[in-house]
Amino acid sequence: MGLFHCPLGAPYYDDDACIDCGLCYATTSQEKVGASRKIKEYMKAHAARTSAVSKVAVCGKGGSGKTTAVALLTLALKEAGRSVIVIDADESNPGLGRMLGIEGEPQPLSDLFREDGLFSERERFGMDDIPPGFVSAVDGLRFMAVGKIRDPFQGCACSLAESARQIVEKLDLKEGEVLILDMEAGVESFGRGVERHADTILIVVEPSFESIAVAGRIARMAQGMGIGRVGAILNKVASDTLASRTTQELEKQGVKVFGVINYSQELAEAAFEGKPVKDGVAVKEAGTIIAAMQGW
Amino acid sequence: MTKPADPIEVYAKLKARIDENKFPIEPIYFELANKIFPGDKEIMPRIMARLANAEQARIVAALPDPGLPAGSGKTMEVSDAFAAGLGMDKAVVTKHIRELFEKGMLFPTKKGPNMARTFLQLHDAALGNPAYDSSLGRIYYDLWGFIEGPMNKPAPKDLRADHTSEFRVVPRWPSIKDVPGVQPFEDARAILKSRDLIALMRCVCKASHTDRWCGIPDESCITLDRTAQYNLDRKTGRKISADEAISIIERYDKFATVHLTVNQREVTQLLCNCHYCCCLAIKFAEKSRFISEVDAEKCKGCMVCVERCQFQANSMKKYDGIEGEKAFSDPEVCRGCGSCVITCKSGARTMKLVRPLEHVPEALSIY
Repeated sequence: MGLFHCPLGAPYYDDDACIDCGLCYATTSQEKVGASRKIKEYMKAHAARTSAVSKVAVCGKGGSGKTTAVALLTLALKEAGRSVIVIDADESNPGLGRMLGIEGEPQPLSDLFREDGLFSERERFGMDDIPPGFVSAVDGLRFMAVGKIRDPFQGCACSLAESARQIVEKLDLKEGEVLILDMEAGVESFGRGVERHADTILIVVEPSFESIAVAGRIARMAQGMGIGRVGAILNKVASDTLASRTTQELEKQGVKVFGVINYSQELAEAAFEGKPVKDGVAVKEAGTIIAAMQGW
Repeated sequence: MTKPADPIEVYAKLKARIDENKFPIEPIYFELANKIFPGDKEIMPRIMARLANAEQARIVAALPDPGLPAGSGKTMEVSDAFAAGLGMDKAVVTKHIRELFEKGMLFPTKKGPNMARTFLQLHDAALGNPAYDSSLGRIYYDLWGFIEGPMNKPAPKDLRADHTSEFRVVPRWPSIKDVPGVQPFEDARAILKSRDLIALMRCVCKASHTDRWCGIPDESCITLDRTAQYNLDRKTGRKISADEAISIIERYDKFATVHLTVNQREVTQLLCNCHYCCCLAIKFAEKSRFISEVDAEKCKGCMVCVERCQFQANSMKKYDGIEGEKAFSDPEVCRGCGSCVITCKSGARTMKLVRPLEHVPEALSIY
């Protein structure tokens, strides 16, 4: 094997980065097999220099399919062996819990962070500290909601956004846990700094001029907050040409595309009926998106 | 771009030049050559003789230094006893070792300075330093070219790379920028931007193929991280920023070269610009996750893609209902380098994502 081909990037044998696997001077296939095994073990033990995805905010223009994307990502992450915590931070739409197959509603998180609330002065907390009433658990998934605006004259949604911001900032995750936030539509939540403590921003984009423009604005704001991993998911895509043209437009705005969820009858029907999405092509597509977002 | 010469003819000329320039060799060079390329009595001993003078050869033959205390860490130092044993002044030994390091014959290992361990290691190091071109002489590069065998032919169509390949093709980034779902390990821009250090050096394969005709400048090997540091230490590399590296590969888009890198997801070694007229690895490189496709209605039949393909994947064919012959890519042969896509003036060619994520292994697995 050549000098600059070391899997670990050691420029020559017995360099400081060399683990003495012997691959570079192995001659028999037995030696190569042994060396390859050593490398794999080493790489597994020293996995990924990229920081792991742990707090993901899903946003985008209204109607682009954030809620569907969150539901799909949740299924795909569960399949990948992660313990998923979903927070519904959308003050208006009621659909997410139902799409995840959760019956009833947990107590709104805004109650926890109210001035007289349990967590009003808490600096850090884990999932175990949150009282059971606030969490709906089903099938390896934990669901929480900031609360909804139900009545006219309820007032501003700022207090709800503030709860979302606090939970993203203060929740300590254990290994294997991942937090997904279903954000409200548009860019208002950025103005309130909800996403500041997220490590990944996913922008759901449907192939429309408006949606692409909003994505560009979101990406610039997220980068302005210092969030490194920002990318788009194309949703409701009906053809490869459309996917490619949308990618091209997003590229001009400096937004990477992590993956595509193609238009499917199954998804459209699930959305119409407000039923849980099932395992299918779309979940596989979401799996690819997760891999992409972990890489970037 | 000139037309390719007949590889057999080129090789014969090379042999004639070597025969004309035969020089006597001391036995010590046979001993050195035998360490990394046993059985060769003709070429490798001569390469060794060009690289190291008589004093230097004695030093190399005596390495590794047994007197070096264990746990000294990566070093080019030798012990006093080592120099004394050779009957040389330690300052002279140190000077020789530094020169051999710059030439690429010795490396600073954890056991002190040491010679390359394989033929390919020596090849990749000892052809990289232009500062020694005149002292090594043309014959030195001819010897390397001869030992590598006849080149200048594209890979046979039926040659299939598989998952055991050491290298993989990285598509030209402009060819895949509009394809959704591109991963960071296949986006040349992302690869370059995520590295700590980048150094541009002379491509070692190109150095030993003086008859190459790809036209790309010698300085076309983009080394990364520790490998870049090694080249900076040896003064064979020039430090460049990620943006400079990106503009360099953009400039090289006009050449029919292919980016290669190590066949795994983390790219921390190098990003090559390879052409079959001079590259040892290109024929066996694993395909990327993409293939090039033609929209026959848009194709104007200029045949640029047929000329540029390094793998004989492109040809002309008759499509039903379309007049004249139009370009065609054999999906079985195409390795997804994107070279034909970026030069398609009529916009008939696009890249299509066809292989799953698992196609690119997490760690290089030769077996």
